Amino acid sequence: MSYSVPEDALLRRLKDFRLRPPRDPEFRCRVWSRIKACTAPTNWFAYARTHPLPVCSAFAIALLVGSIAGLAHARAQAERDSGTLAKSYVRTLDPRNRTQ
Amino acid sequence: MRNLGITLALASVVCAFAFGICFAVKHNRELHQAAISNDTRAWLHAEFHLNDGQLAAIAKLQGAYSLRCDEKCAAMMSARRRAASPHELRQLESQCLEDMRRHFQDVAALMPPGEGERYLASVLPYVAAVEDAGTPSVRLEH
Repeated sequence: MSYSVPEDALLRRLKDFRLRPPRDPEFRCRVWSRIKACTAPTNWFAYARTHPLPVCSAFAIALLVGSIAGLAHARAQAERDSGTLAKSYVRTLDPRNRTQ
Repeated sequence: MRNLGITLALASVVCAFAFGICFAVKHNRELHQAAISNDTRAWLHAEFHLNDGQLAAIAKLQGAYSLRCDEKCAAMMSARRRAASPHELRQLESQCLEDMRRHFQDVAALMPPGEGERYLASVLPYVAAVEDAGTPSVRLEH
């Protein structure tokens, strides 16, 4: 490997090198305000806007589960009612009940 | 974390709302009311979509069946009183159940197509249960 700048010259340059950033008295304040913005609780609507997939998925699953459970519960109740009434209907026509 | 909690709470509300709406849409109020008041006529009306004419025809059939059944039951009681043979008693009992099964088939024939089959599928298992539980004469021994 060969270097175009001699080693002494490079060392001299590095020694002379000084970083002089422009003064920014507001820098510290800006950093703290950004940290505060990140940790402060956000409005739910803002949260929903920034996380549309999990929020919509949660609502879709809730809607689906609620609908299926509602339909199943109604169907089960209708079956139970119908069974009770069919049993009662047969009982009224049951000859054993008529001989009592 | 707080927003996750709010999302879950809102999802629960959506779930409850969907449950309520679907239950209200699918719930058969007439049938449930019939079950509470044990009204078998209302059951026939709600479950098998019968009109007043069909219900009246079924009521007429039921009246005729009751008369037949009363006669058979009286014959059975008399047979027991005179200590008839078990064979004769069994014959009378099976005639009674057969008459009940035929009555259900006659009622089913008065129903709209499809509903009659559903009606038989609803009641015949309980007739089978009557047979399994014991015949009328067994009860008369008590």
